Amino acid sequence: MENNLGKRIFYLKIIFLLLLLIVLYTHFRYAFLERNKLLQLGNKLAWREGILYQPRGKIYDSDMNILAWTERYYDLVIKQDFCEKQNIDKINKVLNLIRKSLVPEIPHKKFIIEDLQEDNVVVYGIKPEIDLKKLNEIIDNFEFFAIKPRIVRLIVDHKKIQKIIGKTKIVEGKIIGISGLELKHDKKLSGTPVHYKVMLNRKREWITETFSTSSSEKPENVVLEKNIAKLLEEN
Amino acid sequence: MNTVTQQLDKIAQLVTSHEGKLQFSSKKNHIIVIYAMLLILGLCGCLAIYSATFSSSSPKFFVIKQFLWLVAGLLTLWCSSIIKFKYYLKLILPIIGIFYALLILVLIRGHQVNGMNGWFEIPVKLFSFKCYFQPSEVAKAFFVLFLAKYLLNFKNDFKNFCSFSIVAVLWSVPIMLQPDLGTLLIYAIAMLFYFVTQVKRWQYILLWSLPLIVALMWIFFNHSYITERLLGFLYPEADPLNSGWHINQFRYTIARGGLTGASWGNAIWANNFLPLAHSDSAYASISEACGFTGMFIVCLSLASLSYCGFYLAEYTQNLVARRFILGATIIFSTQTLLHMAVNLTIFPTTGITLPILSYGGSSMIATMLLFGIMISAAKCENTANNNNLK
Repeated sequence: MENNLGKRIFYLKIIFLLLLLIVLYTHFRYAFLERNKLLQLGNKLAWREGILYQPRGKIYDSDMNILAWTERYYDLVIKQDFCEKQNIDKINKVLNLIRKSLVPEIPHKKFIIEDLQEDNVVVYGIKPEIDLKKLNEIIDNFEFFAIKPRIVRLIVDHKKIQKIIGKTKIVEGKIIGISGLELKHDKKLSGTPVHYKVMLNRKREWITETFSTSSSEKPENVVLEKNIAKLLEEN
Repeated sequence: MNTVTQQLDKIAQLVTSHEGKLQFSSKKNHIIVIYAMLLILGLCGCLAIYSATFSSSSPKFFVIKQFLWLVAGLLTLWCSSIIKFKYYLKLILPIIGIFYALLILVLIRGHQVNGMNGWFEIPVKLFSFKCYFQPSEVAKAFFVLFLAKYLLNFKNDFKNFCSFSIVAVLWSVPIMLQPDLGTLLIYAIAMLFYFVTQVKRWQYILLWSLPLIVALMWIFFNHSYITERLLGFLYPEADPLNSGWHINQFRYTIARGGLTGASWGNAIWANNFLPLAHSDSAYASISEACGFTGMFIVCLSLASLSYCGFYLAEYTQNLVARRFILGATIIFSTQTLLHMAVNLTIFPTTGITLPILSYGGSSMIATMLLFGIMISAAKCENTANNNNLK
């Protein structure tokens, strides 16, 4: 037997060499031949792209009194896709949990299926003092819920000023002026949207080092030539 | 005529002795290559671990710990290589007995990690780090030495097969109960190769087919996660977020590395998506950083260690030493290739580390011990046909 050992070691070396070649070829295949296809599949899973609308500019009078501005609120919503009878109990249990641990102000309402007929049912308008990060951590484990931002355009509480400033509407997350000064200075107040790209980790959290944006025009504030008194006189 | 014969004998002796010296000098070179490769790969392993964990909360923790294990490993390598091989052979029975007892004890008193009862927690802190010891890893070298000394010595191949089988089964059972199926697989493949190279009628291996099927069925029925892993391996696109996750992530990570890599410290995919990027997925995570080119060099380095092992096995005269070196080389090569095959999705996912490069103290010590005893065996005799150590 020992006389044949040299031969058998030789065959063993050949077997291991062949296995090594298979390993190297497979690596080459993934790293070069099929690279584009695999990168596309991976990127589909990992990258998120989107548009961020920049906060609309403010409108001031000539004395720098603010007349119109934008505020962002957050709502806790139940996603439309999950508004089904079999999820009702789970939804109510999670709401109870959030109410007990973080947001006692959530209404003590037990949802029934008839309540969940709209798109993204708003459960609660989250107040600024609530810890959003903590709330997000709780609902992250439950696909039924989401925190949706909501932007609101506010104008000073004066009917004539409101008429002069004009109205806005929200289209796909962007505030657009539809009358008055909001319409006149719409381009300047809006700027251009920002296209972003960011990688998500397995928990679907943003990997901040990978966040990148395209260049864009920043929204500007509009300072009127006249003050409030003169504006009201003329109108 | 007698004078001529005597002179021819003298010349033959001179040639053999000269050949012997040449062989020894060549073996010495191969031993130096082993030392050098283990040191270089160990240091590269520390860098690779940092690259795989830089986005964790404490990447320095892993690197420092691995570096300390590397130092301990190199010390183990040196100490085990200077101990004379005859002492290992004298003490192998008690050593193997102790390790077998540890394999049983770890089932009862072991520390569980990822569902596996395979570690002892050592009540010693190494620079404020907790230490764990995995007996099934460290026992590899001694198991091979035991096989080399006591088994396969019968003239009758069937007796060799029976004694080999009994030992294989006894050794495998506690490992299977942990369950450390990755390590068991390495032992099994290594034993298979080893047996086939040592006996004339290696076809006796086929007698294992029925008990092997029974064992596999037992494993599948008792560990349903294995079926899930197998399905995930065969059909990764069917369930990409669960059973197919690991397989897909291996491929995406390697694809991201491309030919030249994403550069050290930039292995974002391995850090954020690849499970156990610093240990069981080390090959893939290093690939992302170094690319195909870098991994080609790593593969060559690991292959050079195997080559040196085969060379030492071929040119060591002592029978037991030669068997041991061969077995040790087979076990090292099998583990390396299996880890690579898993990371390249050629083989279903198992928990096998890449020797020297993966994070883990027991794995480091086990590999260094294996090579240390191998070097001691290679140095034991440089003259022909000396079986006194048996």
